[in-house]
Order: sequence, then C-alpha cells, then structure tokens
Amino acid sequence: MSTPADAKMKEMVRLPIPLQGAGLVSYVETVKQAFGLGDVSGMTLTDQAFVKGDTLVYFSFTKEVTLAGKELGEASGALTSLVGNLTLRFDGKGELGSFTLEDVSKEEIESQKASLVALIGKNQVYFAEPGEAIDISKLISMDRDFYVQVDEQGKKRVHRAFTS
Amino acid sequence: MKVYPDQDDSKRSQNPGPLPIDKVWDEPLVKDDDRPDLVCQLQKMLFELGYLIGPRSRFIDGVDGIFGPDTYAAVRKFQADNKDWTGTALAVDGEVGKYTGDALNRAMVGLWYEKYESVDNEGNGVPDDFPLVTQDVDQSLKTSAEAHEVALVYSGTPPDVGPLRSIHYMANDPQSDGSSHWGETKEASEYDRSLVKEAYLLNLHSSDALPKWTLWDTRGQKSPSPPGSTFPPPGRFPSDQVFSVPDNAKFQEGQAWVTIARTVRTWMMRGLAFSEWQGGGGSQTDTLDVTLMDPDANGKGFVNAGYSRPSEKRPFHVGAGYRVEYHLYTVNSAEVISHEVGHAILDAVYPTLWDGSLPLVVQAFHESFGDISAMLTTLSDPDVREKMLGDTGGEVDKTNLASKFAEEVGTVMFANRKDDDGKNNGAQFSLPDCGRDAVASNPEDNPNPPPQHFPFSFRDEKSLALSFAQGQDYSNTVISEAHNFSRVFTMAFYDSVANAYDRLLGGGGDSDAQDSALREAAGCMGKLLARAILRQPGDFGHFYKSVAKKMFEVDKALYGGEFRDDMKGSGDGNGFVGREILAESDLPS
Repeated sequence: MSTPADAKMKEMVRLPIPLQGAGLVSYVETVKQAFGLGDVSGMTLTDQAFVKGDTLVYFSFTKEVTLAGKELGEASGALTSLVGNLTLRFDGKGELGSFTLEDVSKEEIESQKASLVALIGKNQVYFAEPGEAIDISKLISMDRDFYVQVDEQGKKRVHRAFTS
Repeated sequence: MKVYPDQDDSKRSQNPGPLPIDKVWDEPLVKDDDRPDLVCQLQKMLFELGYLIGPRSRFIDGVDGIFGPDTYAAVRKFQADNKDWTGTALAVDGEVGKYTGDALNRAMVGLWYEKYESVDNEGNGVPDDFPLVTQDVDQSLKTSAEAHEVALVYSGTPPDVGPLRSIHYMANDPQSDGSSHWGETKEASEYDRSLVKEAYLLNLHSSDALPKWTLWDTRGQKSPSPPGSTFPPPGRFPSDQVFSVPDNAKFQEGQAWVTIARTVRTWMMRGLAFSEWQGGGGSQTDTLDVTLMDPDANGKGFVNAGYSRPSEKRPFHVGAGYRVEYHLYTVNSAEVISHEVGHAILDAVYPTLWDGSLPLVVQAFHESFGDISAMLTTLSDPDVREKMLGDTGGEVDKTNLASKFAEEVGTVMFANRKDDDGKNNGAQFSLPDCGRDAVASNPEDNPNPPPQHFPFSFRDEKSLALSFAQGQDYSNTVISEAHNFSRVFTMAFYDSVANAYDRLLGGGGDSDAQDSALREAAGCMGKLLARAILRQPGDFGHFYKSVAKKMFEVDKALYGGEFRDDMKGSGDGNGFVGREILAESDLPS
C-alpha cells in the first residue's frame, strides 16, 4: 500500500541517486534513517522503473530475527535473515511523492518459527557442535536439509545444507 | 554436396545459412540498421556462437531484428575475437561489412554447414580469386559408433530435426522393456561433433562473457583430476577427443559443460547479471566448482544431483547413481543439470533466500526456479522449439518436450525407484515419462482428484498432506514436499507463457510466426521473473505470492501491463490467479 511521503522524508530523500561508491552507501544510510530502518543489517538498491513520468526506485533490506520458544528446543535462539522491500516514487522534479514499505512482520517471524518447528518435527535439522566442520555429504545421507550451529561470533544460526 | 541452405529459402527460420556477403559488401550492417531480416540472421549467428545479444530484447534468444546496443556490443566482441581472411585482426567498430561478415560465415562452419567458401560481392572467391574454404574445425575428430548412439539415443535427438545441431533437451526414448538403451548402430551423423563444437565455442566465449565454472571428476579418484578436468581444454580441440558411451566421463563432461553454459547464458540474456557465485559461509567465489559424482558414491542413492554452497567436503555436484536396476547418469538428463545450475544462479543473485528457506514455499520456489531454468534453456534451442511446435500442432498448452522436465531421469525413477522396503514407489516421485510436467492434466482425467481443488492450485502448507494417500500419486496430488509443491508455481509460469504465446500469435500463423510468438512469450515471461527476483521479494511465508506480485509490478513498469491477463490466467487452474497463488485483489491497479 502506497503512503504519501511526509515533509521530512521529502527533505532527506530525493533524486538523483548516486549509483555506486561512497555516494550510494551514504544515500542508503539516509534512506534507512528517513524510514526508521536503522536496525536493518543490509539495504540494497535493486531496481528502478519509469512510470507515467515518475521514477520508481526499489530497495530491499535484510533483518536478522531471533527464533525463540520452547517448541524449538535446541534451536531456540537461532538467528535467521528475512527480507523487506521499500519502493520510493519520485515525481518528474526528483521529489519524493510516496513510498511503499513492506517490512518484516511479526506474522512472518512466527511463520519462520513454525516452519523451523515443522522441520525439526520431520527430523530434517542437524544440530552441529560449535566449530564442527560441516560435512554436507553426511547431512545428505542423513536427510538433514538444514543445520543449526553457533558461529565464531557466538551466534546460533540456522543454515540450509543442500537441495536436490 | 549441399553445404548450406539455399539463400532464397526464406522459410528456413532456424538456419538461414551464411550471411549474404553481397548485401553487406558495400553497405555494412550498422547500429539501428533498417534491414531487420539481415539483422535477424546476424543475431542468430551471434547467439549460436555464444555471444550475449539479448538483455534488452523481448525474445528468449535475443533475435529481434533490432541492431541495438546489445547486438552492437556482441559484434564488437566477435570482432575482437576473430580475424579476417588474411589473418589480420578485424577492426573493432561494431559494423558488419565484408570482413566481419565473412568471419561470421566462417565461424558458423560446423554449426550450420560443413564448409564455407569465402566470396566477394559478385560471388568470386577471395582473396585474389582463390577460394578460401573453411572446413569444420572438428573434421579431424574421430567418431565412433558409440558416439552416434549417444547423440541419437541418449540425447533423444531425432535424426530429422535440423542441420548439424546437437539437441540435448529432447525427450529420451528408453526401451519400454527396461532393457539397455543400446540398440542397433544408427547411421552416422554429425551430432556428436556438433556437441564438441558447441562446447568449444561456448568455452571460448565464456571466458569473459559468463561467470566461470570448472568441472571436476571424482570418478575413480576422489580428488580433482589434473589438467583436462576443465572441459573442453583451452585452445583447439584435440584430435583424439571423442565422445563415447554415456558413462564415459568425456561425454558427461561435454554434456554438463554445454548445459551449464546454456543455462547461465539463458538467465543472463534475461537480465540476471552476476559475476560471482555464492560461496560457503557467506563468501563469494568467481568460479563455480561442479563435480561429476561417482555414480556409486551416493550411498542410498536418494539424491541424484544437488546443489550446496561450496564447502571443503561437498562442492556443487551433478550426476550420481540411483538405486535402480541399472545405473542412469543424471547427466543424461541435461535438464537436471539446468535445474541444479538454476539453484546456483538463484543463490548467486538472491543469497538471503538460501538460509531463509525454512518455509516449504521458499524451498519449493527454489525448485521451481530450477525447473523454469531448464524450461527456458530448452526453449532457447531453435530445434527444440521446432520439434515442440510440430508435436503439439502449435498448441503449446498441450504437454510437450519443453513442458516435461527430465524425461530420462523421470522415466527411470518411475520404473525402478525402490524404497527401503524394496517396493517400487516410483509413482510417488515421478510421472511415467518424465520427472515433472508443467502442463497439468484436467481433474476429470485424474482417478482421484482431491475434492474442491484443482490438483495443482496453491494451498497453505498446513493443509498439505505429508505423504500420498492410497490411490494418489505424483500425477494428481500435491503434498508438502518441495519438489512436489514446486509444480504449482512452475505450472502457473508455464500457463503464462502459453497464454502469452496464444495472444501474440493472434489465433493463427505459420511455423515462423509460431516460433516468433514462442520466443517472445518465453523471453518476456523469463524477463519478468528475472526482474522480479532482482527486486528481492520478501514475505518468505507467502513467497509464491510475493514473487508473482513482483512479476505483475515489473510487467506494469516494463511492458505497460501487457502480460497482466496472460499471467492472471484464463480460468480455474490456469495462471497465477487461476491457480490461487494470487487473488484478483493482489494485482496492481
């Protein structure tokens, strides 16, 4: 759902957008601030389009979320990354007119959690020891499509192992 | 001997023969040239030679008769790679005159015709009235009876579909009694040498146009083989190189190489640009390691081919054995390789999706993308399109060799797959004649259609059964397994291609018009999906919907909504709305 941009957003974000280098990095940081997305771990300019004299600019961003709960057992506390989208619509003068923010929702996090519970229930998740060298062949032979492991930073993460 | 098609045979859409030198001698083909027939011919040559000509084109192969910036860049690249008839480097000016035209005609030797005589604008030999005859560079290759058998039987290439082309996406024709595929020796053909040539050319031009990959061979030794593991080796193809039986490593390497190159090129032609593959631990790598696995190395044999991010112990792999009566190498189904490469490409352009694929619908999309990769790669082959349109009478909503995925592997799985209890359960993993088919049969054709649902409409994961009920099998049931469930998205995508084809054809047309409509439908739909992926859709819990919505948005921005109704579908069980992936209210206004 498109939302009209407020005055502050219009002031902070406008065309042109530097498409590379430090200029783009700085621009993305400004966009994150303007739309309250300071907690996202990555934001990328993915596409642009021109419609009826307006310029549409597409961003995606990544949020790390923690999946927690008793039903997850050993997997509780695992981090996973989810993606949101931000579309900006500029008019012919380069002024921001409206935006569409598709943020990571609580429902989506719950959905991820439910999916992980289901995978664990189907015995498709391997729990690796910290520092364990993951042997994908072994996981294939065990029919474990995913594995959970604490990384070098001490963060528990869920990873996909393979697909056929 | 007829060495190439008659120049005036305008109906020869797939192989028009050499570029008519007399038409470019005094008036070179240039950017924005207004001779679309000549430009089409030039583009077909560049496509065959492995150059990227289509990122901006609506057509799957980029052949649209428009001498635009992609064609201009491809011509310049060709010129940089080639010499004129005197051995002098071509001028890199993006114009196709007598020298570049002649070089193109010579480069097509072995693909479209066996030899070419360089001539001037009046048909006299050049230079200096001395005809310069270019022979097929692979003329010195030795071919064996087995090699012909490989080409004709294992790749399923019918003997009458085209000149000097290899087809490696054709339906196989395994023996109905399950016996060995080996039959009587076929009449000698050029298909095997053509495969060598294509592999050679794609290797040549992939050096900087495509992301890199290396094939490793674990057969007989569990470590990468030294030089020669890269196929084909750099430079001129060695004279002792032959393709032999399908379990011969060289055949598999050749098949794998060509398929990987075609698949990568197909997506790059649709705008999925990438230069690095996804590596392990979030890293990136400039070379994808592809391992052809020992057929016996896979233990239970439940995984025939797969993709995983590179790790020390398990790189990307294709090709393994099955627990079957006889071994079938995955490489025999080129579409399986396309599928796995599709996983690698999707991971390269959208890496967050890999670890984020906890929901079934994300896993299933990854599988669907693999199948669509195979489908679009298949449809980029002119001979396959010709066969497909001939088989269906131009009605592409009928099941056909492009809608079917992995005919060879699927057939064997259906006939031979055994579970731990020793019972044949192939019908739960495959259709009788292929792995999956993007054309669904009607509910009334199925013995046990689930009530109130078209068999291949979207359903929430929670409502899907974990396994098949009695009387149900792969042909009429969707369960909560990713490959199985992937069919819903793949079918909606194929519906969209078929609907667009019908609309573009406008209710009639000859074979050229049909081919053009199919190339355009597949090209545009591929581009819509590619562009949707580049926008990195979120909402992983409803990922089919998320991707489909982006496709509609891209269509609106790119084509003014031209494909909206094609994608929406024409009724129950057709298109993204018909298959309940999207509701009418989800479509952009």
